[in-house]
Amino acid sequence: MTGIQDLLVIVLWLSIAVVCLDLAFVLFVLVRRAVRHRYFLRKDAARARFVPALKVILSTKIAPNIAIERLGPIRGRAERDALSGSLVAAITVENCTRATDLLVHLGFVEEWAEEAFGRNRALALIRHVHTDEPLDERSSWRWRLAALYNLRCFAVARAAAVQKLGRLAPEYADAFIEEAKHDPSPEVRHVNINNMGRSSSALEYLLPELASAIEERNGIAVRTIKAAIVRAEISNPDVLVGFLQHHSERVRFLVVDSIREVCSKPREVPLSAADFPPAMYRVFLQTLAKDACTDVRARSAAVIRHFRDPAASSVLCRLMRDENEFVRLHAVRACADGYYSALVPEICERLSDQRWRVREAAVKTLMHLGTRGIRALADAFLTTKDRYATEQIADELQRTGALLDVINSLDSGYEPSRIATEVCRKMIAMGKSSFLAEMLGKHQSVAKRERLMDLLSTTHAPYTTAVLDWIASHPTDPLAIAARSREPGGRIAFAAEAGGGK
Amino acid sequence: MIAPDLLYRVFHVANVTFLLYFLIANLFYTLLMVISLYAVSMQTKSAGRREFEGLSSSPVTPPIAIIVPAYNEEQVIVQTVLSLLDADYPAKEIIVVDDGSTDETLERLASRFTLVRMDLIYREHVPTSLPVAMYRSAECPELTVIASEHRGKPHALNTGINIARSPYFCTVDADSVLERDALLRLMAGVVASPENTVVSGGVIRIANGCTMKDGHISAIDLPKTWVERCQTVEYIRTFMFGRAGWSALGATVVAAGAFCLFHRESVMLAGGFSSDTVTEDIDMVASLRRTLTEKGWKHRIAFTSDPVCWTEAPGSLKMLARQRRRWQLGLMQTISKHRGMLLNPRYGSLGLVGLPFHFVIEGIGSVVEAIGTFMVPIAFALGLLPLPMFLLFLLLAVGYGTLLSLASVLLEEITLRRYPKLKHVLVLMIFAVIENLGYRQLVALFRAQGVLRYLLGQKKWERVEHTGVRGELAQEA
Repeated sequence: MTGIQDLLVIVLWLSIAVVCLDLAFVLFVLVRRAVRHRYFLRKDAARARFVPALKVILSTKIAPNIAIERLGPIRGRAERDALSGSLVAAITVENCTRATDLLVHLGFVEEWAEEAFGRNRALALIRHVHTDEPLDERSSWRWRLAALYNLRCFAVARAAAVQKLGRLAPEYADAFIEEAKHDPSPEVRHVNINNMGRSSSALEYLLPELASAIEERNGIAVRTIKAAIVRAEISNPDVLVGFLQHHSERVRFLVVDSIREVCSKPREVPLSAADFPPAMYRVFLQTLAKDACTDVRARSAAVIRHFRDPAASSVLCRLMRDENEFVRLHAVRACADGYYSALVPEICERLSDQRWRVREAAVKTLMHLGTRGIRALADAFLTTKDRYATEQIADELQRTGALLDVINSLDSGYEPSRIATEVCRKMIAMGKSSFLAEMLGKHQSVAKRERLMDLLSTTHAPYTTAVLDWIASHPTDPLAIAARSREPGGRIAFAAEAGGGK
Repeated sequence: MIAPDLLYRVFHVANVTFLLYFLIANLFYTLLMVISLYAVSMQTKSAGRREFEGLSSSPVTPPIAIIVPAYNEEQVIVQTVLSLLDADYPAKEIIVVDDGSTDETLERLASRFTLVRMDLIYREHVPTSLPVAMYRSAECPELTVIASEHRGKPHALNTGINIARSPYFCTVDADSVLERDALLRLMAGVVASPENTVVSGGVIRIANGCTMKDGHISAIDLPKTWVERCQTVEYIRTFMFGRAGWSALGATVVAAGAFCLFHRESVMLAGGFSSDTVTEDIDMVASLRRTLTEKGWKHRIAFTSDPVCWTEAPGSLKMLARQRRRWQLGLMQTISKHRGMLLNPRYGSLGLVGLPFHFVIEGIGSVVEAIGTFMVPIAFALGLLPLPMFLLFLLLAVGYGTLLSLASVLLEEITLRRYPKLKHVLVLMIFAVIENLGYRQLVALFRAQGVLRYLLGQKKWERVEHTGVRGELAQEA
């Protein structure tokens, strides 16, 4: 009995423990709700007070101590958080220095630096910024405990601090970014890399980091570094040229791809060969376009297109005939630029490529090249015997809505109308009549619907028949009226008289 | 006198089995709770930096295809597509696959989004049937609608994969609505990870009781019925503890197909979604892990705890029973199909811990739990079980459950905080207790039925009809 009694006591104690824990959870949730509610009320009120004041302060040259006086008293955590959040959110290129001065005077910079690097190092860093006092070698004992500092519970707070420090004026941000490069946690370094956009020496750090990431040595995603390279200010392109000739093909590929992204950024005036450093221009045309790695050759095409000169045309022409399908694919895509409209015959050759991706790219590129490209595409569509090429063109005509333009050309002059009619006929012969049938039912122009009806009269595709039946069952439809008056015994009129339609 | 003695022995063995089962299960759940508390709160703090917002303008954000399989979803499909069109993501294609609906699903899409029928090229990267018709929207170029014969969800998903052109695809159920930044949040983890993330699941929340406007949840509220409220607590527990904990251990077994991101090439390599099981999403996770491990490709299967998708939960016990039977049947089928991975160190923590746990505790355990729920009180009533043992059973089967459920509500409060009013949290806490007094036992019974169906070799897909939130959606629309 003693055993059973002991068990009963244990169970009762365990039950009490569970109930107590339950109550503790409930209490915790309720208290947290109340505390947060109060915190956010105060924070919202503080934000409403600070945001207009900051707008004025940051737009005028006021000494930081006067600005702080104007902000009024700052009491408690909620108000400090509201102020720091509003200040960081208000930072722009124009007010960056004033906002940073204010953050320094309010003690936020010291607070964040302390969170990120420890008290002593933070003070040394700030002194270094203020007085140019040289920094000691990293004496911080913190980095020696890398394993401990790698723990996410410590790293998350440091990452948040480093993120805020990276938004400060360059004289501060550069010092903190430099320091954070040595953080043992990949999460902090990831944030730091994201911060590097404005740093003038970013590329010199990012490119070796990219090589490390490829070799999986630094725990940072390749995409993170690539995105930072794309955002970074390119003040020293020679660094890039060095990495374009790196021994690792993955590094070469990613650097080329990053340059491709940089070149693809929207700009008012298109790039030309003169915008590239001569060394880079030469490396692309003479080395990378012949690289042993297919990915490098393929991506090079997308950069070479921006050179817009005869040398680039000739290289792209060669790449369009490369043995590798991805190189051909990217080379064909690269020609989607008015400058390369002289390459239309070479692009048309790719319409019969054995790989569908290349055929698809060729169709899209031709569509991109304006009238000349579209005319060539229509000619190829009407004349080629290659089934895959015609299928690809038919697909793109539908996807891009170009087939609607073709329908609209059905009664616009002799030559356009002839081509449009032939294109429609070929679509119907290929069994791709759904879009035409859809327009037969929906197009606003009765004349064009009539033309479509004539063209579709040869097909018995179920969908076309359904559309015709639908028109027949709606006697008030303008096309039904036109059909009855034009051809009383015709397909629609016959169906309507027989009570057809679905 | 032999018969009572035998009865006593049988009850004794059974009771010890039940107690051991609950003890082991609760130990595991406690471990998961501790791991999840750490992992989810850290993830929430990291997400607080809002780095995912940068993806929206980044040139290196990978495009996503959102695949929505739909079968008889005329009431909700337009809202779902509207929410997807409005989702904040720089490069997305939306592919709705109408799986042979007999209602007006296709017609409603056609009229709302001005669909135009086209004969596009269809390449069969993963095996499935040919589409009946293909449509593209004249208004929204990113929307493609495919009409196919009714062959089930896996085939509809495979059709979507074949049409998709993006390197990643996200499966979204037709009755689900994404939060505006859900895709960005889901992709943020994928982009930031140095490993190739092949699966990334998000959080599913119950939309019953919420109000919808323009394809978005405009007001969050709790559902009205006890079944739905219990499910709300259950979903919080499942996603906050279960999924997050297993993901942190690198042993994810289940990823909810209602909102899950997949790496398209890896899925194609695994042969696409299979009809071998009635839960194609669970099967896909195991297939991917097996295929990629066998090929020696480094990969990551993750759960991300901050992107949220709202979905409709069964509003009646009958529908709940259907859903849970299907899930359980699918789990058993999947484990059976991939039994070679069980306790196989080659598959890491999934093979050594995840799958065995799901087989023993979640699979077979549901039968033990269901039988124990009836047998233990009977044994106590017949005097075959002493009071302390009975109380211990109650503590493990019910009391500890309240602790886990309340802890999950607490975790929700610390992290996502999707329920704005204090009243909501109070109701959730009350239902965290109530769901352990009947609801969990009922669910265990439904799951046990699922196991029974598996043992009987049944493969029937039980359809859950959506009725609860639909009316509200339709009204708002």
